[in-house]
Amino acid sequence: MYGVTRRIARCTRARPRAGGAAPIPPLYLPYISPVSPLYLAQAEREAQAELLLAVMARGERQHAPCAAGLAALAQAREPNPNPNLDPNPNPNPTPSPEQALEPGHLGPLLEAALFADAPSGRAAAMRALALVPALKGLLYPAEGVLAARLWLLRLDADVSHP
Amino acid sequence: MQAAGGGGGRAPAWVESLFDALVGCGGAQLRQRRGPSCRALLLALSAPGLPMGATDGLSSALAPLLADYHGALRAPLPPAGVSMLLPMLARALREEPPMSEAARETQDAALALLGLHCAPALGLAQVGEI
Repeated sequence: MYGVTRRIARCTRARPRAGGAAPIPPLYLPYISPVSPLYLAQAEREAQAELLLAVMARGERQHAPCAAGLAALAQAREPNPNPNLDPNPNPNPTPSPEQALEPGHLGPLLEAALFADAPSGRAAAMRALALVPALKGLLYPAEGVLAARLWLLRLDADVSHP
Repeated sequence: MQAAGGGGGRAPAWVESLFDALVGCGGAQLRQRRGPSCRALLLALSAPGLPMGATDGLSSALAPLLADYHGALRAPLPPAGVSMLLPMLARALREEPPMSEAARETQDAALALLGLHCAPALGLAQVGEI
């Protein structure tokens, strides 16, 4: 995609040939940029985590894509440096970090990290929890219990060596 | 849906028009598949917590639709589109084994679509100026 964007950018700098179409004004480039933030409600993010964990609980076949999905859900997106050009402006802007799972919506992940049957399921949930910015940086002191459980889980032999 | 359809009966006609309009707001990909998406969404929301096999006609509606979305989507849908796709994915992913080969393929497509919409933004490499 980046290569395509570069080519488009080159076109915008090119002079039009005689009788040819005018180049795309550079002003439009941000609007065709492939950077596409996806703002979803926390409840929808939590539902996504629940579905991924439910699929994981059914067997090993889909563990890898589900674990990747959980990790993606947990991580933060870098704040948009130029929100005025954002094609999907965040209707509920939050302070950075944006769009990661937030405290209050970590129940399914914590439940799976503690009680999932398969060690690899517990490990995937724990790795995702470890990526949640609120726990990573302990930005929310009220989540100290969650953080303590997370640290205890790191001592779980099954999780340490899935 | 439950308020409109009474939970078990057929939804009144205005619900279909309403959902047709809602699907139309879900982005170009949903608009291109407006009829099948609207029908599948209505069926999916008739019993949200159950597997797709529990609703007559839902499996046969979801199979081609999710395969079509899976083949067509190279980037996440806009947020409104994801909100409408999520109930369909949930019904497909709640199907428990043993299941038919067609149901398994539908579930694989649903899982791929769910994974596509987990990332908060497309990952791009850090690059210099163009």
